[in-house]
Amino acid sequence: MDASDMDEIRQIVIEASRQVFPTCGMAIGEACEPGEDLAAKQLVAFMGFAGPILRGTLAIVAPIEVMRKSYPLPFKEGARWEFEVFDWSGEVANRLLARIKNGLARRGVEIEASTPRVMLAEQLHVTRSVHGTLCSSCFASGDSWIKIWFDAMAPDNQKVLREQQGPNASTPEGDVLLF
Amino acid sequence: MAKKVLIVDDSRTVRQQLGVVLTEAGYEVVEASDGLDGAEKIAQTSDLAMVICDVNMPRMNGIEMLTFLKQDPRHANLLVLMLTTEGQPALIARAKAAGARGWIVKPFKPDLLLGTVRKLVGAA
Repeated sequence: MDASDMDEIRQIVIEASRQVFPTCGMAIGEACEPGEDLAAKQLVAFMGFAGPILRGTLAIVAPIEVMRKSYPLPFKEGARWEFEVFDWSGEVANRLLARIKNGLARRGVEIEASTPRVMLAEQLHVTRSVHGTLCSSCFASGDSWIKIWFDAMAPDNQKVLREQQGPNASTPEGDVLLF
Repeated sequence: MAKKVLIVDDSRTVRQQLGVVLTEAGYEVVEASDGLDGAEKIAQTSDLAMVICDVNMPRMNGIEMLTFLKQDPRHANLLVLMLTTEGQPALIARAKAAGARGWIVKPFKPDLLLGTVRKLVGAA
């Protein structure tokens, strides 16, 4: 994949993040490059994806408190709230990857997603491959942050994204179609 | 007696969100955690008014469940509304061809969702 594709994919990921996080109860600031801090107790929600041209992984990394604050329902008394937050974080990853998928489809790239997995991590460190396949963004969220890691692999030096053809044909969030 | 709606979604949070909206409106809610579980619940529950079904789920996805369901004459007329993060025309066309009656892209708006359920099956 060439460098301009990676830049454009990063913009697709940032745009999708801007659309999804506020609708999931998380206000976010400007995108920046994530630092290499190793804060304890980070929650990681990740999903794989694959298609004829592109394959890889999406991971959302955030302190568990950020995701807990955005949980859309009252926590049940006596229940372990962490498990509810894990489930919710997987749903957020699902919504984010769906938006990215729409952005890629507009540029001629089709992908299918796996189902999400979530875990709690300590001392998490993400290794960058020599192929430069990882695009990453960090958003301020309140007094904390949310990191997005989007690792996208394609055949070397091949142009992956096509020119955008027409307006977005995807159905907008919340819309109802009846057949 | 309240009309029964089956919610098929692998996210417990989404099932609970939908469950609150529907039970407050007077519907009875049955839950399933993926397409296979959904197909089993449909086979076990004779008086379902409709199904609200996610697409991307483990074991059996929503469109596979829909296709499986519509092959059985007992469930050929069961109303199925897809509720998913996906919004691409090709996938929507597949669901329509498989027998879905509607498609909503998450996150859902409670009043619109409830209006759609009432339009399809009537008041609770």
